[in-house]
Amino acid sequence: MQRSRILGPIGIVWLGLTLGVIAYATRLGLFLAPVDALQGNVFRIIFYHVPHSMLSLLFPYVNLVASLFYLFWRQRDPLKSLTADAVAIASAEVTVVYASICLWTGMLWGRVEWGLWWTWDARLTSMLLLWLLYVSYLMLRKLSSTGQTQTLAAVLSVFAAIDVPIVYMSIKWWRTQHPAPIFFSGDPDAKMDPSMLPAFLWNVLGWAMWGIFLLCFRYALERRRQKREQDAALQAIEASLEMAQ
Amino acid sequence: MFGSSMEAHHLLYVYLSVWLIQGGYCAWIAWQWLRSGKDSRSSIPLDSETGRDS
Repeated sequence: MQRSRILGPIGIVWLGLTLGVIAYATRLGLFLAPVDALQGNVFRIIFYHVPHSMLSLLFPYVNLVASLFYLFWRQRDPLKSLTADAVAIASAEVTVVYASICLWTGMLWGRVEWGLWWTWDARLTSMLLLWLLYVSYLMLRKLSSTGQTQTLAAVLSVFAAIDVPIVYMSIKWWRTQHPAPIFFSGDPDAKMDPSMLPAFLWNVLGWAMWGIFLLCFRYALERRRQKREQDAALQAIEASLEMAQ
Repeated sequence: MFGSSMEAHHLLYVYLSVWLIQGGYCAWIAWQWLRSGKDSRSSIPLDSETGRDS
């Protein structure tokens, strides 16, 4: 049996589960989690903002690992390198989607809480830089006409991944306006109230499942594109051989 | 909760825009998937799709 015939139903079941978890998490975040004593209802933005921010720092590592495999395999095993390249482009796009949401929802929260849409704070600036790096990665792949586009993109991906720990550590290394992290901060004031944790954790789970679904779906699309390009190349070779005869 | 204050508006914008961006990206992939399915229906499967080792 073809692998795609098994993966199709699994994908549909996964999507159904994911939408169920997101619906439940959204209900918890919007209607059941208690109102924050200091911020009021605008605090509920956190239930979408923080999971997207956390995941936008994880998908770049999928891109990095895939890019490293691409660089390793590109001359040793071109077929495997194509698989790695498909994972790399899929994860870069998902990174841009999650980082865009992180920046946008952060701006909407900042406008209410700080009275500012944007400030050149270390966390915000390093996150914007991360977004720009992955947008430039996608632009390079889209616009470059050299035969080395995938290799150049893989090298850029290695450099872009360096920004991820800088974004994560920015609120520890520098004095910033951004709130301290909810977990692993050591600051008791920054910790989330236990009554809000279920809404937060369900949202992390739901958006992580959604991100995995998008990653797999985009990967499958890229593999289909690669297959079409291989077919076109094969047909061109066959046509040239027929002409030679 | 979704009243007329700026806080309420921004909370609404966050939840709506997240669904819009995520749904829009998923719809774009699905659109490309359907389009590419029509183009490559008669083509040869990749080794990875048939489960064979390359």
